[in-house]
Amino acid sequence: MKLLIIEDEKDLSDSIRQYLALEQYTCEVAYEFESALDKICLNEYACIILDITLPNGSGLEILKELKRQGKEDGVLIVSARNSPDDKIVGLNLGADDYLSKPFHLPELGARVAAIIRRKSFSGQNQIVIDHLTLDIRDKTLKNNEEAVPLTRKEYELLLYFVSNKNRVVTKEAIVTHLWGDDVDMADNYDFIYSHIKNLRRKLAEAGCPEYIKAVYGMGYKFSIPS
Amino acid sequence: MKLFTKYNRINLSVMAVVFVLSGIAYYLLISNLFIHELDESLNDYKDKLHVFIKQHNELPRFEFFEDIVVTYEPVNVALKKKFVLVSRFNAEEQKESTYRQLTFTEKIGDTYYAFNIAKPVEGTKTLTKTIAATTLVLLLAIVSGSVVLNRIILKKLWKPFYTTLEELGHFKLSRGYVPVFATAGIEEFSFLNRTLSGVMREANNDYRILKEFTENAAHELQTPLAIIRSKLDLVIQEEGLTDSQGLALKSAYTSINRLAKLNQSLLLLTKIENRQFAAVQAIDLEAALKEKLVQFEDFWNAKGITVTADLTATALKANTELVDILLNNMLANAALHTQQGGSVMIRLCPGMLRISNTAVSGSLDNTRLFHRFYKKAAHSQSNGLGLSIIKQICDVQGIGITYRFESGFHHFDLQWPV
Repeated sequence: MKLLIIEDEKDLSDSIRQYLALEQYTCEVAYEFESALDKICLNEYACIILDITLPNGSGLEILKELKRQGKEDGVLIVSARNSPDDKIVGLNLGADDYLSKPFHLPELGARVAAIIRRKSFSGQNQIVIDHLTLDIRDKTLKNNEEAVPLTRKEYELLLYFVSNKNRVVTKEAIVTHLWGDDVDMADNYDFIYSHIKNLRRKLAEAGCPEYIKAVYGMGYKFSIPS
Repeated sequence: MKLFTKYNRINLSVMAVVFVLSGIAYYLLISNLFIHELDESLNDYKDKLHVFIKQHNELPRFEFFEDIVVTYEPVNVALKKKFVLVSRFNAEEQKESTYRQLTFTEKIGDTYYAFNIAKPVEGTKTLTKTIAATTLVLLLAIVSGSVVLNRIILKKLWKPFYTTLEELGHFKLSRGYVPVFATAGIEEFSFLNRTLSGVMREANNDYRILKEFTENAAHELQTPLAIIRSKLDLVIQEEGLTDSQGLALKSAYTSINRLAKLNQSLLLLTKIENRQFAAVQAIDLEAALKEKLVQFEDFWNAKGITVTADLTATALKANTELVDILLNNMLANAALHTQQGGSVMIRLCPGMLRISNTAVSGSLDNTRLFHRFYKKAAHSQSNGLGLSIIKQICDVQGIGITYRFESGFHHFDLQWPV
């Protein structure tokens, strides 16, 4: 699966590339407008991570060019401008999603995964991972064909973990993903602990191995035990 | 007191004093003139009498109907000539009148005669009355005239001033425009207007620079923040970090989150100030609040906070995004500042939303409450921008917000015209 990261900040671009590479994506990078244009013309990508403010041009122009050429590449806009207009314009031009800086890398991972799912498995709404089957449309989970009843939040949580398989996601990133980041909602993140505890208990009761592990007291990691 | 009233008061009292004084002066002057005339005619009479006595060496016959009353009596020595005012019976008018009397001595033969010749001081009363009446009438005429004139002229003259005042009343820094003052045609007012325009332009400029600085600083911070956060996200992926490294990373991560949140709030504030949220539509507040209650359930449960909601369906015309942020902030604020086991009450009725929560300690400082970076406790984890954002949103959406502390509860009331 090939991704293109169009981002002029080399440090950020590197982080994104490294993080997504853990998920076996092949990442190409472009640091400025012209090389980005060249790349989108020559190749097709499962998803393009597009920064709006670029040297010598706007990311929105690249998006327009993509659509003009009738390309189907998924596009995730990342922007530091965080203006509602940018978001609306970007989505109207055909971008699939919008993420404002500074974002959590797992959030980016989940969004990219969601875009790729929508683009590549049209009609097929299932994620199969080890013995687990997540139904995207019905938002349900099956373990070896047996339904595991999950609450909405538990399902979203599991999907988030699965989208960031083998990577540590922090509590803060989870809160932002599940509850939004509009406000300083809580002075501690204990409340997500109960959701995670319930999810782990339900998975254990359904006879699953320990998929979700706590890491350094700051986050969790979903992985398939070997 | 209005300028007109004050001016009229001073003007009129000074005028009244001047008129009364001038009336008195007139009276004295004219009555003196009268007396002087009387004295002259009495003198003439005396001279005639003198000539007559010289020629005939006897007293003339005094006609009874003469204007002048003459009395005489023999005396031993010659008296000095003198004028006096006396009161005597006036046979003609059948009452006491004031007379001007001249006393002098004439020698007829060997006998001295003291003569008193007197003339009534006629018209003094009439004079007094006339002068008083004239003064009063003139005073009234001038007073009413000046009141009317002042009203018309001053109003016209001061019009530019009042126009300027009105413009000033509407001036608001955050709107970013300087009112255009009409040219006054009066040097003082033109100067005032020029000075005011200058000061406002400067204030606006300073305000804009400050705002742009905040905005630019916040924007510029976004990218480094994104880089730091992404690097931390990567570092924690490393296997085999020691516990102390993990702890250090954890606190770095938390701090970055606080910084990101702070920055986001500042950006939001500048965006609200720049009125970037213009679209307005009717929002079903009941539905919006119900949705929020579900969203916040977890936070409240985790803290053991009891939430009671009394919601009546009502609509609010405002920007959807801003109202969403407003509700988030208000509810988050209530949850954040309520202790374990406290309670939050939400009451919605047409035109009003009240959110109350158990207070940890006493009342908040109502004067500084909505200022940026206001914190009750210095070590608080919140960035002190929540209420500032709430206030800003209320201001731009025309919602009134008030805070009250009552029986151990903080009450925040939002009110809007239905």
